[in-house]
Amino acid sequence: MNRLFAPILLALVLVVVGSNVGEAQQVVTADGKQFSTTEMRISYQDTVVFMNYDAVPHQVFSSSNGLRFNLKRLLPGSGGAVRFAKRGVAEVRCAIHRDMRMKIIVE
Amino acid sequence: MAHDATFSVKAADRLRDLTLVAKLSLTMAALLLSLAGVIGMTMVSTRASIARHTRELVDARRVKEMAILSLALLRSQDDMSKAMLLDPARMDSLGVAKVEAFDEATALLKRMDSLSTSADLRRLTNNMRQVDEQQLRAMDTRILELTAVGDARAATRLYFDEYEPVRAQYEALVGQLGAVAEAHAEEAARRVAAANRRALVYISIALVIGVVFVSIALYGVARKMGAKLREAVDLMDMVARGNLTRAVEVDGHDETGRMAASVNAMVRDLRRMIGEIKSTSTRLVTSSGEISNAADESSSAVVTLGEAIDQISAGAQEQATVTNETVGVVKQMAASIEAVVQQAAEMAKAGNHTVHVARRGSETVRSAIQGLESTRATVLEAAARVKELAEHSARIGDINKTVSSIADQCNLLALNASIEAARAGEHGAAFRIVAEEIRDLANESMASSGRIGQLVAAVQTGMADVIEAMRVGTTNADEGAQQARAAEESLDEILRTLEGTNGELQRIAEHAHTVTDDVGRVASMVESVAAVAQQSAASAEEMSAQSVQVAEAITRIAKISSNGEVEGEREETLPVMARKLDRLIAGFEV
Repeated sequence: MNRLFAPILLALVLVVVGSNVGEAQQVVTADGKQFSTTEMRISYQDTVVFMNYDAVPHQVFSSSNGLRFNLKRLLPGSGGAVRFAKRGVAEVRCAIHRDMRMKIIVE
Repeated sequence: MAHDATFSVKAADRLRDLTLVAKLSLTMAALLLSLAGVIGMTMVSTRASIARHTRELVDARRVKEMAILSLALLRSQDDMSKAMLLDPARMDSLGVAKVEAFDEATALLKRMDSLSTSADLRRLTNNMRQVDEQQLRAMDTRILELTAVGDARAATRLYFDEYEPVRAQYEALVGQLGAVAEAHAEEAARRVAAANRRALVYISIALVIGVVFVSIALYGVARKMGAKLREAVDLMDMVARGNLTRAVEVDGHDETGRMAASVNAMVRDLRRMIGEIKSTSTRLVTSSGEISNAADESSSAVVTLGEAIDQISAGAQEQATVTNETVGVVKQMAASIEAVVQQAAEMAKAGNHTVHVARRGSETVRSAIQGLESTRATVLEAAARVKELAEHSARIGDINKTVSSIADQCNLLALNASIEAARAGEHGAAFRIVAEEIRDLANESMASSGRIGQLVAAVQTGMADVIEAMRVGTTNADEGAQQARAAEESLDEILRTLEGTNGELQRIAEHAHTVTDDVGRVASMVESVAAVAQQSAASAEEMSAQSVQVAEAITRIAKISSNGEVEGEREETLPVMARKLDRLIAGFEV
């Protein structure tokens, strides 16, 4: 069911988030209690969409200085977007699964 | 082996030759170095031991503190878990804080593991980490998942049924770890205190040993110095009593050895000096007699010398007088020579003037000869021209004769023409007139030719006179030139003679100057000789006076050197003094 609706949800999120012309969007998925990548490079003002493809909930957040965000609970099949308005390195983690880690480098 | 033995002997000799101060300094330095080495090694060893035990103490305390802190962090996470179980909506905010507390606890566990130096501490730390990673973390994740999906009941059950017992086990491990760490810290503190005590004991022992060695060294030096000083004082007492036969033993080259050597040298010098004084006094007695005899002889010699000096004085006085007269004569001679020099200079000057005049005469004669030769050449040239004129006039005469002949023939032809005109009658009248005219012209030509011939003859006669006069003039010019040349040669001869004479006069003047200088020097030398002669006379008189004093002094010496005391004098004679000296020296045993 989640597998079926997730692409539709992702498309909707991308349509909503991508309304700002000139800003790129990147997608990170959580699957198997791991992020789809351990490191990502994006440009200033880009948006990253986190999609939960797992069967368990996740809570994606970053406590890095200047790049804090907290997407709160992402139930299976749901997603959330973060627009990075500052340059730096964001250490992205899951509050439920402590081993889930990735790095987003905003250039 | 033999080499080592030789080295040891040399080292011992060098040590014995050192001064006392150097020996003491070396001993003190060796002791101080040994003490410093012992104390330094003790302090280094103690410092390392204390540092190691202090580090163990600090690490154990830190492990204990970290264990307590990790437990507090775990309890903090549990409190947050309970809050989320009660209100799952708080998970959004508390979830992040819980992760941060978890991260800090994980870092503490790693740090504890690195600080745990003992095996039991490491074992307990590993157990804590295993319980945390393998049990608590998995259960906590599951509780959060259940809470996130809203299944609070299952989450609460899992927390209290499974999570709480494991957490109690973890707390027990933390308690054990704290107790073990505290025990390690106390043990380390005891070791630090023991190391401090041990270092204090070692340093005290080293100091005591050093003080004992220094005391022994000082006692040895003082004892040696005292013994040597006593020996030297004994020797000086014996010397004071007149015994110069003993000496102090010299061992080494330190201050005591040098003192002993100096005392021995002093006694030796004293012994030698007294011996020399003895022999000198003996020789003095003998010599005084010889001096007395010699003084007598010298006295008579001085008298003779005085007479000789008087004679010398008189001779010197006479020499001074004669020399002064010689000075007057030499000065007169110098004045005469000076007059000769002046005359020679004037003669040389006159000779120069004569040479100058002769040169000018010679030049005049030479220019006159040149004028005569020039005149002669001009006359010869004029004579040649006159001869040419004579030849021309001769040819004019010849031409005049031809003209005269032609005029004569024209006269005959005119006469014939007149005859023929007359025969022709009236037709020849005009022709006759022409013939008459031609005949008149011929007559005039003949008359002119006759005058020309006379003039040519007169010219030739005058030219012959001129040529003759020129020849005579040329002959006279030649004779005049020859006489002028003879005069020139005579003047040249005169000039050479004058120049030679003048050179001789110059040389005479120069020689005269040289002679004047020589005479001047002779005069000054004679004056010096006169001064010396006067000084000699004065010196001779002074020597004569001094010879009297010398004679008196020699008489005095003879009296002092004679055997016995001088009558009426407080001074003692040399033999008397020598005998007194002998008596004084007899008190010394050498």
